[in-house]
Amino acid sequence: MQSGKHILLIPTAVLACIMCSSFGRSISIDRRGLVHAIGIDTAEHGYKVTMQIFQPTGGGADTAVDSTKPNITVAVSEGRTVGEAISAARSSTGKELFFGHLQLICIGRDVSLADPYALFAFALGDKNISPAAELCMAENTASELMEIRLSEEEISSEALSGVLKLSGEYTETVSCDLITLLTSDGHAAMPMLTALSEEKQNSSEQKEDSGDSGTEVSRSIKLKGTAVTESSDVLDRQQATAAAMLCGKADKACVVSKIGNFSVTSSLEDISTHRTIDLKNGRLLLTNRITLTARPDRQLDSRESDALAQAISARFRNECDRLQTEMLSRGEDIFGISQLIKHKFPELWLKNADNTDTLLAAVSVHTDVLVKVD
Amino acid sequence: MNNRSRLSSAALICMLLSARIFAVLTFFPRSTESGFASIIGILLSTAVQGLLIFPVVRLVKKTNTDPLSASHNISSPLEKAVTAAFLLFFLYDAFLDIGSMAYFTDYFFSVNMPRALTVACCLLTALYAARLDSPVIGRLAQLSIILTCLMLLTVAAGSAERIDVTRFDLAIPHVGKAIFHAALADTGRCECLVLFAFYAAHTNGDAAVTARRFLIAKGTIICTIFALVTAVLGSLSLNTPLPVFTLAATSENLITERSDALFLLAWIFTGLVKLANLLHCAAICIRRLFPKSTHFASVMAAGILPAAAALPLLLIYKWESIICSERSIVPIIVLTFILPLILLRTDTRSADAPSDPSVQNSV
Repeated sequence: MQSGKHILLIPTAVLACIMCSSFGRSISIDRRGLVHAIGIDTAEHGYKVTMQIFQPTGGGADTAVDSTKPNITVAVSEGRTVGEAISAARSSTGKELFFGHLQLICIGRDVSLADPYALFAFALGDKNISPAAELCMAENTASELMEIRLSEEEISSEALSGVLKLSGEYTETVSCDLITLLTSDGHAAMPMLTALSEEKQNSSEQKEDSGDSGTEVSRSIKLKGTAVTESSDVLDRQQATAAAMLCGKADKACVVSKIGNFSVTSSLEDISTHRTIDLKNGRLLLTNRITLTARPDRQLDSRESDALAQAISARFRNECDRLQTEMLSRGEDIFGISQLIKHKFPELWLKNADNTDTLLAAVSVHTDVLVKVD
Repeated sequence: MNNRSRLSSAALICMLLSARIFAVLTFFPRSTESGFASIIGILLSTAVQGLLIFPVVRLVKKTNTDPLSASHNISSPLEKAVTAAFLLFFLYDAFLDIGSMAYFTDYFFSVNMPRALTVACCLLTALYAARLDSPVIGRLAQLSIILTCLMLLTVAAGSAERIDVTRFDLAIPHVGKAIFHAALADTGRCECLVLFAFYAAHTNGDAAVTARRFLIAKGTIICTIFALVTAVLGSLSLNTPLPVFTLAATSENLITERSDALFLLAWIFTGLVKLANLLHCAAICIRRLFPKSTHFASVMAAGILPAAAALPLLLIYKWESIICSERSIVPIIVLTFILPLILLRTDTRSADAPSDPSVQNSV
């Protein structure tokens, strides 16, 4: 009787296996298109979406991934919303698109980010898209960047993502992801990339091989600056370093200071920012306390070390004060000051909920930079 | 019931926590206006729940029986009514649980598995567990809580960089109302209180101590989850359909790119433990109402009824309207507060008499 019951388990297990294989409705990997990067631009009737889809077979390669060749294919489609454009791409590529590996979302300069929730509804409604996906802005169009097939890394999006990550880490720009944009109060800073074209004369040997004469266009991607959403401003490298420090996103930086008659290059490390906001004489006073360690490229005595600390401190103090005051006066809060006011003075925020730009413009800024020379 | 087959206090706490954590992992109440207001509301509701389960604790201390046996000692029709009330609650909650598991599995996983098959898989697993003794279910619950704590620690460590305490704010128009709604929503999702009323008399430990420990653990874990989600996701947590899942998807470490697979493991485990628990309790109620029914038949009936009710709604894609509707706290108040209070106030002259041994053993 007991063994009879156990025998019943075998057909049950077989049946369960067949049922769990989704009655043949599963999708094989070769029918899936692994999307690694998306570019969003405006089009005549909505949005144009350009997707970099992973193509695992590099031409002439023995292995599935040939790191010396571009391993991507590009799909372009249009729709009234980004979601519709993505659906259109599915039918044009003939692949079931998978966004679990999406690393980068590139936004064209002309795309409005006034309502990020509407623009990124496709990402919020999709269980596969990570909210930690990196964002960047294209100087011109996102499709231009997406169509460049870089061959330095296994895939183009990895190369782009690497550029953004390292630039953010070394405070050449302010890195941004989907969470940062969606939790911001209207403005956010993000890296701006540009596509560069360089004409090169083909060598005679290459000409013979390829059969074409004339020039070869080499394309690459460079960091142009730091864009501010819903603003025409582009922050330069110095401003980006100050912005990254004020946003608490700075990790490392490099600065050249003049001490006496010679220039000292210092690498800045252990950068931390602490912000407080208080109400003094009926006015909001924002205090930024930045601490960092400077490692100069030469041996300095104690007097020179003090001079270096003062020089670095004065430079960042002025830069941070000027940048923050200017941006807040225009109501461009990329630093999260609105959230700080909501946290500390919720009633004041609610009272000025319809006029937050004026409230931000009235904030006085004071920055202290403490530099330790190592 | 002898001491060996009795539930340990820790196992009962884990069973109750599994039930509550499954609800919070699945999705946040739609009425959530501010993460910080929700945390205050949860703390408030936890304190109120301490008062709510006070009559149950008193009843267990006084009569050493659960509400079902206590009502049996008063009159048979009362026992039938009380058992039917508990049975309906367990079946309805199992209906919600089965439906949620199928609906959200469809959402969480990238599979093309039919919902009917998800229901079948969850139901068969839960039925298997529900046929076991409650101490065994208790051990499974302990495992699920360990898994959940590991998952939360991993997710917290992976998203520590993004934590921003300024995201705790009360800049919402009606703070008091938001806190009240959060407290109501938390109590409405505390079906575990009914499970406590059912199981409290069948543990080794003191019911009052177990209740206190459970409420402290529940308050701590639920507040931690809300705090983590608010501190990392900020206002996004109010706009994303499944905040804890989104949090897990953003959490990364050197080993895994995202932690949602770990989240799914804990979610499924807690969901199955809760479902098994509900079916186990429903089967006990069925056996009390229909003494001739066998153990197997009662468990099967307890599982098949809610699954059969949920399946049509899942297949015609109407489940969202059910799962997103506000839950009434009335059944929880009736079963954990009013009913035990009535039983406590009624003269239970035969309280010291041993209750029905066959049913006690089945618990």
